[in-house]
Amino acid sequence: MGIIMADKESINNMVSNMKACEQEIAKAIIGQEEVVHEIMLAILADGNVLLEGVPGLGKTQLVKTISKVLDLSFSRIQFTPDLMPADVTGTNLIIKENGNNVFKFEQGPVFANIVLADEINRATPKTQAAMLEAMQEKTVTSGKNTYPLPMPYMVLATQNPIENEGTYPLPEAQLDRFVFKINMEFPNLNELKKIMDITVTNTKPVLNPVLDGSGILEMRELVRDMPVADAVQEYALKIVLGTHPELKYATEGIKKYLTAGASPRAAQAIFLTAKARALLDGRYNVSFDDIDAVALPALRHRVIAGFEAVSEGIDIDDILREMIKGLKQGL
Amino acid sequence: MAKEKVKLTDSDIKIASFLKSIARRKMLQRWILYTAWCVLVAVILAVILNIIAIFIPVYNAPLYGLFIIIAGFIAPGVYILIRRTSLYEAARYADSAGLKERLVTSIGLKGSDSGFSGLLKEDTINEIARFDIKRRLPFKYPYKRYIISCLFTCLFIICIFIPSQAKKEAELLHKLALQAEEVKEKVEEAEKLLDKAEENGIKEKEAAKVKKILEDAKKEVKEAENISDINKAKERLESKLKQELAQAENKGLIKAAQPLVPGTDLEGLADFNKNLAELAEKGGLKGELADEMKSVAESLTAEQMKELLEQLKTALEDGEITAEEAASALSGIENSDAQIASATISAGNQSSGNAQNTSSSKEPGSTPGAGNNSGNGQDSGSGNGSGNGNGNGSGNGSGNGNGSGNGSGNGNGGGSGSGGSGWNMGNSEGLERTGQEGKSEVVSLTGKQEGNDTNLSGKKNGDATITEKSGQKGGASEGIKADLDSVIGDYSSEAYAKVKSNKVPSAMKDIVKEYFSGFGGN
Repeated sequence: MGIIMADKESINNMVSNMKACEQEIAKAIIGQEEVVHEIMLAILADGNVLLEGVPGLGKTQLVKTISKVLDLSFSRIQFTPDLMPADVTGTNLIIKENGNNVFKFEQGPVFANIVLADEINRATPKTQAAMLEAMQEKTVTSGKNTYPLPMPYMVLATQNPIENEGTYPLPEAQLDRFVFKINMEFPNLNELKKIMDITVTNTKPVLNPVLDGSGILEMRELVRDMPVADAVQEYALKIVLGTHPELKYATEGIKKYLTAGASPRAAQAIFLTAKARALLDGRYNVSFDDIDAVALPALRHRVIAGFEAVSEGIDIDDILREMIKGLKQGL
Repeated sequence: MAKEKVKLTDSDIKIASFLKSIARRKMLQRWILYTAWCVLVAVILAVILNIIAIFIPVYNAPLYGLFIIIAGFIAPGVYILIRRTSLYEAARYADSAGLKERLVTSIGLKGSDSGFSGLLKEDTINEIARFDIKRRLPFKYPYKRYIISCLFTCLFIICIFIPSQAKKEAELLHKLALQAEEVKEKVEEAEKLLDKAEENGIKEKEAAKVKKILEDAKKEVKEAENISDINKAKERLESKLKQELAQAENKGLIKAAQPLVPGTDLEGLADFNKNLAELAEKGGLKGELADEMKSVAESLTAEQMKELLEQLKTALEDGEITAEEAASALSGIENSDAQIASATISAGNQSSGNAQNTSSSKEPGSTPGAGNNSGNGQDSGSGNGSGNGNGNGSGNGSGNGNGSGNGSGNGNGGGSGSGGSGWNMGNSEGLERTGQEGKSEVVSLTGKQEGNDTNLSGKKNGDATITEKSGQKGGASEGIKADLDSVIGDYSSEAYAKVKSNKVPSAMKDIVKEYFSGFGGN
């Protein structure tokens, strides 16, 4: 049992707060309800999110809105090829203090509750790697000193799937540190119309903070306490193992189209986000449906498509869906 | 590691109670599905079996088919009772109907009502209260399987009523097996008693002799190919035992063999023979008559034997028992064999006036057979006989000469006597006359066609006394009239083929060859 005792009232409060957050975000972000919901799950699961979508879909706007609604500090890093690691993490500067020259660590933009790593794949791998420690250990090491990042901490990175020239695809180690990779879909007609209403007029939505950092941390405790039945646990693990073409759980599709499967971090991501989903759904246990719902965003960036999948233009999501369907039938 | 026993909370008990009802429903559903499958498979198997039974002999195929179908109904029930639905399975079953893994998670948190456990169980109980089992978990009936099963059942019934040769053969084979089993059981029972020879007061030598007979009988039964073979084997066994035990003094031996000779009181027969021997010793009974009496006694009851003895004793009072007296004594016994023997003795007595008759005539006879048989024999006998034959059944139709019957087998070999070829339908073996001089050999052959068996034994030492008989009052049943020339070839070929077997003693082979060569057979 965690520090926070699970009681009905606190859970109900949490659920209503999160729903209020989603409603508040919806004022500024038209459509994309599923994306917002998945980001909320990632926040409760203490994870980072990689948003992928064509330019102009409101990725940056979404992250800004979330930071406002959650009443958290926010910083944005625009990743470019000439961006240096120190520009991200901060650096030691020589300053005069009481007549003496001393080194003082000047915090970079990574020191904020919510960091928007915009177009993260445009920076060099060296700079991208500067985010690794921050994303996983929530610390920054400069010289001999390690500095903790403010909690709750979360990196929301964006990348453009179509402009590949002058980009540096994220290495697997980096991708594995994102709890979800969320694909942002293009809005439909009604959504687009509403976007126009709030972006090309003087009517600006007023966003009110609904939650704060301590509230989010309490929720994360609750999420971790949620029980998971053995059968459900086994199912989630089989899904992760099923992404490995060399293992027995792999379907023919996986064997044919994938060259590498997901890491144990994928299982952690599935469990935590599934728990968060169940809680936001007003339940006190994780169901198979919760696992199914979070499996795709948790796995799609953790598996590596083979030559055949690329050459045949097969979507990784389709391969994973097929595998999950097969496992579900065997339940 | 032993499982720690958890104290159930009220919530756990409520959930468990709900799960029990779900488990029952799931078992019922499984029974419905499994039964449909099993019955379908069983009916198909039953149909296949009965289709096979139309072409290949399978005894009681409809009954076996019915058993298979019944098993198809019972097996799923037994399987479901053995492999009962656990609470965990029931929880998974109900969860799949919309409870979203609440039950399966709840039963994993047995004994705890704090924090999430309590909240979850409360939530689960609320959901259970709203859960309409009949609507959310309705029974699924596999109608397609039911229809297919019904169609195959119809086919099964049709197959039962399709007549075929194979079905008839199956019936016959079953009877054969039953009879063989019956004989084997009796033989084994007798063998058991003989195995404990000393305990039963039986001499090893005697026991060994009877055991040899029993083993031979078992072997014959094992090799039998049809019911006729078994019957012959049975008859041979009875005859051999009667012969072997007719004078046995050992009660244990008789007791052991008695079940194998149900129609004869072996002990009574032994006593009778003993008394008969005493009468013969006193000089009142001729050897031939005594032999006849012994032969007849085999088919008499204890009372009849007693009665016959009394009459013989009475006849002895005025000196030697004559043939007339013997015939009269036999005629007083209500037994067909006794009646026949009586008639034979009377006839023999009459013909004794013609003793030393050398018959070489091949002229057609004029004495019609009394039986329904028809022979076409030609007499080629040249023996001199004054004895009394006991021919059963070789009547002569249009032929002449004397049919040498094979029935109860009293033909005495040695001479090339009457060679009437009236083929009887009587007993297939003859009994050796042990009271006569020399030892004859009892030869038993299997595989003979009924009625055509010439399996008679004669004395080996020649000089036999031949009994010429007219064939009157022959006891044979229906015969078939056929020209000798038209059948002798087949008969002789078959006989030669049969005697080639190693099972036939060489002495017997010679007899058969000699016999058929006499007819000009090849």
